Amino acid sequence: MGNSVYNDIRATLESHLAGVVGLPDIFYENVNKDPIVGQSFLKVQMFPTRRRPACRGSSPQQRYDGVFTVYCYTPEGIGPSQADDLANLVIEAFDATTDITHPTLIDTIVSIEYAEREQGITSQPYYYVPVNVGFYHYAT
Amino acid sequence: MSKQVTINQSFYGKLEKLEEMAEEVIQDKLMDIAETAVNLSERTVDTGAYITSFSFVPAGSSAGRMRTSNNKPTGQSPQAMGDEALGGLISDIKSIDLKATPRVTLRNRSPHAREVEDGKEVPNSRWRKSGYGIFRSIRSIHG
Repeated sequence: MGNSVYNDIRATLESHLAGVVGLPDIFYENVNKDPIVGQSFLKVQMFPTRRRPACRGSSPQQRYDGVFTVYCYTPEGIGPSQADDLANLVIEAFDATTDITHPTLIDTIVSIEYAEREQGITSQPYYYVPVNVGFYHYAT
Repeated sequence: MSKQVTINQSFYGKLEKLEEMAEEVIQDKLMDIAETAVNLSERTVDTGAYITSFSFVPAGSSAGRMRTSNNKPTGQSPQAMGDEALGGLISDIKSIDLKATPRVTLRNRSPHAREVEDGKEVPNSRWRKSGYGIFRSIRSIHG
């Protein structure tokens, strides 16, 4: 199975998001589940970007960097506020300089570097706001 | 009693040298960003329209390459398209007057750039596309 650090990072971020009150259904990567037209939903995607030694010398810890993107989808044509509200909830849940932990993966602490949103985008029949959460994690 | 400071002419020479060094550092950074953008985008290549639509422009400019994938042959070589894209970005870096330009923007004006970035949801269909997250990954790597 090999090193499971990326699995643990993903599990930590996704479980933290799933615990936020007031969010609609969450669609995870590579899951064949259809959103219901006319209902809001979230879609998540993890973009690992770098894995580098955190310091010089032998057997250094590795620093894992990446972006966890939450797309906040709402029906098209109802105005922006519902998507804005969802984006606000996500941003508040992933506040910069906080650490996210998983209920059972005790050694996994994912640190949040930033959480910022992009403009709203119409993609028929939806309107969505992407929220990008920059994270990093140290592991041996 | 008057006070005065005399500035040696060599001061201006040293200042110019510092400006040249700063310009080289900025060019190196832009080059790093260009290579990251191209490396990340090679996996998206089909017609090559997206990857060859990257450009560096002075902030505030509306210019930039825009290639559409309409009527273009598919299955293009990612490496060849990547080389073409990098060549365009290098040419942009060389043509921008960095001393006169306070900010430089990396842009992709292909019509489907947003779809490449975020993917696409098509309701009542098994067809959905995951985004490649090119710009958000560049932001994560380069700040």
